[in-house]
Amino acid sequence: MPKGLLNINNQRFSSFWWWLSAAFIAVVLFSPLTVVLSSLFKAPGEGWELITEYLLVDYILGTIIMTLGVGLTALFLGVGSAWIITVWDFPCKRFFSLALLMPMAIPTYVMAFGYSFVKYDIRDPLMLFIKNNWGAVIMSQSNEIFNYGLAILILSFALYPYVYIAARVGFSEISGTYIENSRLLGRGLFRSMFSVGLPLARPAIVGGLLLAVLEVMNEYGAMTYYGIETLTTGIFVSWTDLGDKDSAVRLAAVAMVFVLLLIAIERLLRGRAKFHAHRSSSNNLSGPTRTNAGAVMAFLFCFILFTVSFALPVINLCIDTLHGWEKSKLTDLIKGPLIDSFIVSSIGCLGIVIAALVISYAARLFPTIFMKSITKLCMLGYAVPGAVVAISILVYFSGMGSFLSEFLGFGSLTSLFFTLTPAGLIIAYFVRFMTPALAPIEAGMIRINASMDEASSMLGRSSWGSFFNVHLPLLRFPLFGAMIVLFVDILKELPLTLVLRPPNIETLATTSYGLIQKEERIADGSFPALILVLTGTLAVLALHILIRKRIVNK
Amino acid sequence: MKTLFKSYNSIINISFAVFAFSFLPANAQEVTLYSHRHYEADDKLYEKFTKATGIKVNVVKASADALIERIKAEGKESPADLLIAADAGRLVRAQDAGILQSATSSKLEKQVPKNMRDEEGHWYGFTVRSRVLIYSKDRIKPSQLSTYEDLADPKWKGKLLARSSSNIYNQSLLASIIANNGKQGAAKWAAAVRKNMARPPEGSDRDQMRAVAAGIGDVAIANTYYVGLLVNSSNPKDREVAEKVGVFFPNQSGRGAHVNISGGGVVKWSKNKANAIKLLEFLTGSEAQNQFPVTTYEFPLEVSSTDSPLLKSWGKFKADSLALSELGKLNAEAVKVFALANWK
Repeated sequence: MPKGLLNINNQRFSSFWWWLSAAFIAVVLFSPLTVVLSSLFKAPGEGWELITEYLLVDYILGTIIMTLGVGLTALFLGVGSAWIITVWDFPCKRFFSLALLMPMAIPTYVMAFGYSFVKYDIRDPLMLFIKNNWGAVIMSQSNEIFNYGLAILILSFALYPYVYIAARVGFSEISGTYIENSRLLGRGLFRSMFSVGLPLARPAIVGGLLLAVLEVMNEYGAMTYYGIETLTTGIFVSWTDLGDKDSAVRLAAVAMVFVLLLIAIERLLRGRAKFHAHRSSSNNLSGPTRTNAGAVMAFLFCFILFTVSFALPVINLCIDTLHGWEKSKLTDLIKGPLIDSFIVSSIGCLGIVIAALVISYAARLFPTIFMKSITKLCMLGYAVPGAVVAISILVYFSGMGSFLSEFLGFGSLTSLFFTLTPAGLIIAYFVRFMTPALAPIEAGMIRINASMDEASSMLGRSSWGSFFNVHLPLLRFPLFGAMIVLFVDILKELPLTLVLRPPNIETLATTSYGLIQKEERIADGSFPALILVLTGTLAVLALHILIRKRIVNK
Repeated sequence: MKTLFKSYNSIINISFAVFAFSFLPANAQEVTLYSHRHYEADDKLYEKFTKATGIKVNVVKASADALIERIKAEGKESPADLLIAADAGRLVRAQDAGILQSATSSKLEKQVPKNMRDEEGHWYGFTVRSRVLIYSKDRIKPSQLSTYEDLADPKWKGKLLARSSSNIYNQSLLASIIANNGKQGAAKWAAAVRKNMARPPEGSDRDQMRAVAAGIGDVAIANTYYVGLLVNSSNPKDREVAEKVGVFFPNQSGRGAHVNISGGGVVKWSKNKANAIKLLEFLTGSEAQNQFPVTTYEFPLEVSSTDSPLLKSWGKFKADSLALSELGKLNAEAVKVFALANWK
């Protein structure tokens, strides 16, 4: 029996169920990925030599430039705006605290498309100017640099909300007295951010940043759109071009190692410090500061950020939708993609959050290395490109399905998984999206003081009792938060849905992607994209109300 | 239980060796497609097919590679009857993976030219596209253009535009050059063309044409139907681009312009093989063949027999008669040549 059992809880049996359920979930989620990892121990495919000799360095370089670029930009935008909204008082502050979340609802490929005018109307004339003055070689190089810059900006616009949410929640946990003390000791609000805000909210912010960076690693559409090579685009090159799935999976394994490194860095950054909230102290800032110059600056920062990351691309979508309005068939869209999207997203987000709760509570009951590793393993799916997860799931579950149907002697499980129901797709969502659920719930668990568990246990509650009466109520905010984030994530999801969906199922994402990206029938594709963004925005609105409630409740 | 976790391969092998009863009722009145083609116009054709035959058409749309993997994994339980790809190379790959079966009918043999289908009937083409040179009407006279091979000439330095080599259309073009000029000739060609490019490869075929119109470069390599899509775009800027560029079919005094197909093959484990063949016959039949030039601006199987004013406006052209199965066989070679040429 696991070690932690004896230390923390007397009621071993009930606790053991937590351990067992967590282990079961981890096995189900992780085992398909062993298809990826095992590739490292197999002889490489034919294409591997070609990849290592000519391509791998570029892939790794591209990945590093993009993750660093987007990571730093998103950090600046997310933390900056969150701090401004936490400590400053300025016009439209309430509006912006919501509006800055909204870009979450825009899939990266829609964002990239919304900015396609930059390519044609700004970059190309600029390049022509460079070509005419300095020649074709300089133009070619400037073009590449411009593309990197543009791709970094566009991805940062789409992904900074992950950092923003995390930072808002993080800052809200900090007792207002800390910030006030820093101010009394003569530090400005800006310097207080570095000396008080950032250090205290670090685990939350780093968690949000990790999500954003992992999304970058996974990005395919925007990268190929701008001709940028990363490990993920490389996976597609070796899979689809070289026809070498083994090398593709091997590259995915390299990407996973990269991610493990990132997670290790995150742990290192978090250090040994414990971040328990001090519930005894007043958490409210006694009135945010207001100076005229500061208010103008704060307003401008938020206004510009909102405009470029949400208003502009959405206005573009609206214009294009109007162009194709007569053609768009609202009822078809509602009957098909909208309902399908809702079904898979709802089932997915509910299930994933429950699984994440089980894992993180089990990890709390049994703070063993084994349990910690399980938690990390469950997060790996987020690091692997969606298409690779899809293939792993296919290979694993159709093998398993056939074996079980033979073993149990009834009908085909494979078609049950992939043809008759979207079960295979939903499991794939579990594998892919456990991280955005686990990260906030884990962070929430950490903030619940360990003395609460001890008190509850001493008062005679079993692990189940403590869970339902102590932890669940305290976790309701990260829980709902995670659910909304997941809902939006699944709504936007493309590669898994494309590959694993049962026949005749279209989601809002697959419909708009097909029309916009593949057919470039922008007028027709903008409408489902707009509905997707609006649905996502509604979910984000719910998230906002949640965050507000949390901050006000303090 | 030990065997359960021993290795995935053994699990799959065991399971595929054993007959597994499917939940799917064998319904004679349906056919399931796994299609790489994403056009809405195709859905309309399928509706027509259903009206004419009473056979319901189910569709999963995703990239051909993903669909090939899916069929491989699903094996005999796959609901797929027909795999549709937008390139002969992918169909050959599916054939090599052993997921297609031979399906023949006299109608298909009559309707599909010999070089546009597999000898044993593993797959059949149903639309044709040519990969041509798109030039700036302002800066280039058609008389300056001649062949694909000519693009390697240093006179084009800083003037060419092409998309990424990870695009299958480029791979098939290079495969045809390997078939005609040998691997070394093709390697020299790819390296020289890459050096002549105005900027590193990026974006779609349409983006290359836009760059020609904007003056970034003078000549782009692109598929014909993309011109049609620009001409008929709802975006006035795209129509402007189409105004500024011309279509040139290269190698007319030699082997002819490179062509490729969209095509389909019956899946090995199809439960509705007869229906799948019927659908292929429908897609290669006159009604559908008359539709493609109008809806997706692709050529019909007989490239010269179209009434489409747009396609006619490009002029008659001689198409390379290379057996398209060659493109699939040389695909891996082409990808390697591109990598060596630094054509990303």
